[in-house]
Amino acid sequence: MPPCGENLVYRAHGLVILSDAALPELKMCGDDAPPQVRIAAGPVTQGLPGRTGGGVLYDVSPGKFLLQMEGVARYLVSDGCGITIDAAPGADADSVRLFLWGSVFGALLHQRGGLPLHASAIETPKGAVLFAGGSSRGKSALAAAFHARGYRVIADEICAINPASAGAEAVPAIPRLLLWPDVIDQYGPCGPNVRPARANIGKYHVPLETGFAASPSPIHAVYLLVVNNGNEYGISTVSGLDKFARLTDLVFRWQFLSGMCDVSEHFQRVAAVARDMRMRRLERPASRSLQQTADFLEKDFMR
Amino acid sequence: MSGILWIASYPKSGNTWFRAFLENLRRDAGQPVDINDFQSVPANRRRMFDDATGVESTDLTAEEIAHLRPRVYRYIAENSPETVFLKIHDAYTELPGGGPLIPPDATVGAVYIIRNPLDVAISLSHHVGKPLDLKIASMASSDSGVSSEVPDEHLDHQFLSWSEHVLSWVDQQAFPVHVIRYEDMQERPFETFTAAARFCGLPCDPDRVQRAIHHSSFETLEKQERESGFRERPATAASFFRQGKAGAWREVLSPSQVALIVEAHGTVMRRFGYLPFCVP
Repeated sequence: MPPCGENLVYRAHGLVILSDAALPELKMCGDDAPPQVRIAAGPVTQGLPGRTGGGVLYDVSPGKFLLQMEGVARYLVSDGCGITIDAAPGADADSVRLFLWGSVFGALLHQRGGLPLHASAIETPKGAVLFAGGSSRGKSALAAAFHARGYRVIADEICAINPASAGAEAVPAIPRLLLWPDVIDQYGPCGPNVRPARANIGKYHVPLETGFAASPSPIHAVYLLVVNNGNEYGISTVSGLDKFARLTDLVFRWQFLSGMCDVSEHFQRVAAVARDMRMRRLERPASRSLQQTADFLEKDFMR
Repeated sequence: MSGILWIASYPKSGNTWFRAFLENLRRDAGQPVDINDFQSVPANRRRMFDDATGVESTDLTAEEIAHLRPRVYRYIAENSPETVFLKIHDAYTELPGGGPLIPPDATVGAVYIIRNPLDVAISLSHHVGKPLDLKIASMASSDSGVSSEVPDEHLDHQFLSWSEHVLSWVDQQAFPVHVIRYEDMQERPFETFTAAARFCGLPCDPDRVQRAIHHSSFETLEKQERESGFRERPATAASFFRQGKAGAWREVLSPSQVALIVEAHGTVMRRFGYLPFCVP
């Protein structure tokens, strides 16, 4: 991801981003809005001074997040407005950007006091519909299935929630889906720009040339995807404290918060969003196809 | 005592039954612990790996995941004030870059559960919905494991052959291992579970052990699964808790299937009392 010699302005997750390297996954920003985030190449030291927490690959301190991906890059996120990338010698640009759009941007959204959820989202006539759940529950696959039906995609992997006064909104993220070959074969918007998300992993980067949401959308419902081993779909409404607990669990990399941000403020945001959010739990039989699940969900959210 | 205590076994060897006992022993509640609320989670659960590393495991190569797994276990051990019980079906192996998958410095010990491979083959065949002959062959293969092109909620794991799996755990010298036989859990439950509880550093007073054994009986586990399902059941299996019977092989396996298993695993079977066959 070498600097291109000029500053380029993009938009992602509702933010105007100034970058010294090309970010082909993003759309260029056409207006004159001032940049909110600057992404630049530069040296990033190993270890974070004043470390207050972290995990196997990351460290945090107040307002700072450091991710160290061996052989790929070190990333430093500062005060919700700056990302410095120190790419490893010979690292491929796809790998560098894959982690940038994942954990690194998740940390940035946390630092900015946002509420990033681990979810995909689509725009429907009723409002934004989010699909959330553990790994391989079909979040991205459902977004792809609905994209093939003409719905616009709002987000995949990370969906930033804007707690607007009139109700929470889902903010358009990055115009792409990350899909596995079996889903691309069925529903993927194929095109010449579909490529492996990274060498030696099975996931593909599928750019959304069309069908990407242009503006935030009030949230109509969040679906928690659960796979069951029965033959019938099960659907139920999640409410009360259970809804708060589930939403807390859906926050993208909530572990980053401790030692980096004000955790009590974060929980206040979660509580505020949970209060008015409609949450449904979908138990999907493993034996049912993606098409059948999309049919079932469409009936439910359009009701 | 902090660190990880591994509940290790080849698949379908009584690991979940033993975990049910442990959960009931530790909580000592008036009723059986919910089988979907076990604290001793699988060591290859993807969510656990992702939370510990801070990145999506599906964004990593197989080599990167293998390299990181010991660090994840160290991190879990370092950040837990008490012993962490983790279920594991991986064999105890060295990683391609060197060093063991299971870091001894983060390990308190392991309970290794062994079951007659003649019965394992039948149970495994039902569990994964594959023909018995295929499972007998995979139990004899050093390449045996689980990996999927489209990932599920668990990371890939490597079993090796049944015999190699057993020996990899019971003969390693890096940490203490307490070996228990599935058949002894059935035939001599009180002695077997009491000794295991003592090894795990858990309470082992007789009343408490008896209650935990009662609350983790096959009938209780099977009833819970029937009524509320079991999150660890694969889609390929009609039920996770199927029969729980030792010696079923006598009614199911053909003489040639028995011969194949004995040929592949006779040495280890003999060592653990599965050969010569007992005449019922």
